Amino acid sequence: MASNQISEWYHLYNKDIYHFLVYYVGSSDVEDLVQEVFIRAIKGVDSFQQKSSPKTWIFSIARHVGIDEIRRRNRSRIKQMLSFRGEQQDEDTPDAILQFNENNKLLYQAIQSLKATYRDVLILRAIKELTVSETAAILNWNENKVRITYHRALKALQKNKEDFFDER
Amino acid sequence: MKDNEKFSDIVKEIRALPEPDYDKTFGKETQNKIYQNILQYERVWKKKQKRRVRAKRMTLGLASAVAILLFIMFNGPLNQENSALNDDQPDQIQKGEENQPSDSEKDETTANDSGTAASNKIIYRNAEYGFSFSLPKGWEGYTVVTETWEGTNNQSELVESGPRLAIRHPDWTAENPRQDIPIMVFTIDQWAALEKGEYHIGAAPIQPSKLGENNNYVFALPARYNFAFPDGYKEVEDILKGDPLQPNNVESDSVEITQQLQPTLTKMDGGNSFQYVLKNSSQQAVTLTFDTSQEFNYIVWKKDAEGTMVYDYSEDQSFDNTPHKKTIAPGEELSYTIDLGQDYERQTYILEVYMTSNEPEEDSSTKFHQNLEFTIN
Repeated sequence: MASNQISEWYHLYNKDIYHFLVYYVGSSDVEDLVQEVFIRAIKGVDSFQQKSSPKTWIFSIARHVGIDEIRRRNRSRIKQMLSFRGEQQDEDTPDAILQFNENNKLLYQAIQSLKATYRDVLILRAIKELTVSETAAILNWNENKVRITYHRALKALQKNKEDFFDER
Repeated sequence: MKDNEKFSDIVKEIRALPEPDYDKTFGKETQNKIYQNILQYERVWKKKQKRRVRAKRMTLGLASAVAILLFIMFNGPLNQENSALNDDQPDQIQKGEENQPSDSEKDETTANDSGTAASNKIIYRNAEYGFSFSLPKGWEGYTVVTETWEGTNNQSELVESGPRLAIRHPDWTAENPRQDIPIMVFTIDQWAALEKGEYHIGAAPIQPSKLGENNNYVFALPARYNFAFPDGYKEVEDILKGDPLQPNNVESDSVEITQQLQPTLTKMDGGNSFQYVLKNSSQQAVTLTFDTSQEFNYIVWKKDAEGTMVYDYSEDQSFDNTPHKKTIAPGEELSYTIDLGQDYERQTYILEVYMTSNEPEEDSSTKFHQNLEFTIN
């Protein structure tokens, strides 16, 4: 029973989750994370309430996996900086698999420079094109907060993007 | 008015960001490999869980066996005595009959004992300041009276004040007052200033004595609170000796403010106007700080799945960047009138109003926020 469920969810959402994680973590190397998402889903399936939608549930797991991964990468980056002083590593970008053009790159950098709540809502609402209520369920916010934060995020993004543009 | 169109370009741009080329980077092979791993993990996980359930059952069984054993050991002699007394009754019925009364007897004796049993205490909990206070059972039906303490400096000017709670005995009457339990509440800063002697309370040269503190407040007993020796002062002394006040941390200042201030949003008669009121229903003055000359904001949404924003007051108006503060006295309110004008299509909208006061960033969008649906027809 549960096994069918996991299989079904995997086939429905694995690409979505992959897409989400590529943007969220900002890396092209996220296959392991996709696996981790579904493993956490297996562990948590008992606590999953049937009333919430599996889609938003899986997304919220993916977001947490993403957050953990970002933390881990930051830690190892700091370690690296300490051990090889001065040796700057290239900023992680998902270029490798996304084939960004120049404008995409700028826009993506602008998104990554936003604070976490803005990034959350932009990636879910604009990139993954989820509805307000789905986004609210994933972030555990009320719908108004999603609307307002999304609006503010767009505003901040526009400003950041212009700044980046000026820098060039 | 069409505010949202300003962003449609950037939204389009974001939506145009490429999706990964799944066939190349996340092809069927990778997908399948992950799928196999997940299935395998699930098998292992299920087995583990079954084992865990079995282990739980076993420990449960073991525990109950031990419990039964202990029960028999302790009750054994009693049963033997009883069965010796009335031999003609079967053992098992007797056990039930004899044990019940003796159990309840035991309860009564402990309840009467003024010792440490929890059942003879009642607890007064104050969530606003974050403490609990245990009272003897005799105080059941107590009331709490809130007064204010006032601190004056050497020039007899009032410099600080704060709440003074009095827990009042149920038998208290105006004719026959009994000793209250007074608790003064200080903020951490106020307490520090008091200890430095920056102000004093009343004429008493003796300072209040600390009963406890949490992350926001210090609780103290006024000096010479029982100078009049009213009825029951001795009991209160005894209560206070027993270290009755347990502080617990209040979540944060902002949570409190949201409890103290109640927002309401109502549609006014005629026209497309609304009134947003923020009332201070607490006993304390509340001060809100604003980073700009703006104090509140409102946003109008279309009520549809997309939640399109129609109007945002903060973007339409310009405000100075002059920070200011506003204090709302107890019982008073801030009131704002919102006139939306007639520029709306026939449709249902949501009006959201909130304060722009300087609250923790994370939740600023939901501070005192109120929604109201309205339909233009």
